[in-house]
Amino acid sequence: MNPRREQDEGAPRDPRNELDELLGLDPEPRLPDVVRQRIHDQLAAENDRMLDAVLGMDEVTAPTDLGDRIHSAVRAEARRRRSRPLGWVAVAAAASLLLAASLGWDPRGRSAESGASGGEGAVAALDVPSAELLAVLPLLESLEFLEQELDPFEREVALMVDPRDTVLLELVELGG
Amino acid sequence: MTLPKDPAQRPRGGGAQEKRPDRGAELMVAWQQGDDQAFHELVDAYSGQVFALLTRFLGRRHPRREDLVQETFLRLVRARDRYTPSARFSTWLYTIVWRLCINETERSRSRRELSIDGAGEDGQVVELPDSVELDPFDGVARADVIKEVRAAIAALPDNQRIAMVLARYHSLSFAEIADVVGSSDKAIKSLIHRARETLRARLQPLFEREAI
Repeated sequence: MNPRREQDEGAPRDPRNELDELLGLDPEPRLPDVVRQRIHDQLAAENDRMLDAVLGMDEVTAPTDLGDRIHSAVRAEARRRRSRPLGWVAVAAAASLLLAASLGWDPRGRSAESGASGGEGAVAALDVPSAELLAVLPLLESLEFLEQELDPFEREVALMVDPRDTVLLELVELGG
Repeated sequence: MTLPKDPAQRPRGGGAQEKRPDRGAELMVAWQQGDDQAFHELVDAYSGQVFALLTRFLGRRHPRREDLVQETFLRLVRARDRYTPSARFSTWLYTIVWRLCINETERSRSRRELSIDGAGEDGQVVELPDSVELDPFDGVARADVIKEVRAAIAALPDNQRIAMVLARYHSLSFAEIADVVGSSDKAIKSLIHRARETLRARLQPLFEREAI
């Protein structure tokens, strides 16, 4: 019961109040839970859409030369890996040449001791490997290694090493 | 084929139910068999994505992004013979990127390089806008939005940021992201949910501005 109505029991009824009372009889509309949930879902979806839209505005453009830089890096790495043993091979080759030179070996095939002698003497020398030949074997193996493992340019650079180079000789001495 | 928008619906790569063709895996196998052109195609197809992932994770001011793209592909070269197409190629590639990201983040933190001019009051690194990448025809409003988005992404914790970026910008499923970062599907789902909630809260004013 409306308390105002109890209060005004004896008083003449105001038509405006009657209208209010009538309107008050209409129950408060309640949103069905299903509809309420649907609205929440729609709002969440809209929020997601907006979030994805603003996130999508942030674009990343890769530098145009990125692919070339990658290929250059890969080539450089491959060169580095191939040339890694070059340092000690060069030193080994230089040491062999130095040793051979000290023993009188001549790269053109002459021996300091035998001079221009060849023919039978040379054939005889092959029967029993001389100390000179044994000394240059590591060098020959190194040259074979260079031949197999390096590309023409790298080989050329490696063979440019002069065993009589004083700096190299010093290095070899230091290393030895 | 269009991928489902929800990462939970996207298939995990390499599984029995996998239907998506994996061009990356095909190229990788071709390269293993001696086709050097396949490696060029891999670089063309994936270097931009690697760069984008590094950029979004490390930020646009990070000076070593391009070096790290190169490092990613160098690691790819070194791992060439070990690769088996058991997972999607992109998942495998992003795993390499993620490890580089972790290393780089730890290195940056130890050096405190960025804290000199990039740290906020709470010590978080603040993502600053690019000075050159804004389109003059886009107007100030768009530039502001992009600036806010980058700052919001940069402020996420590392694990939320990588998960969110892989899901949103690289279309990886929860399962694939779990493979990349070495976690579980459930944990990834939770990380992404938290990341999106954080982003939504921070970027809400932009939605309202857009709606007006």
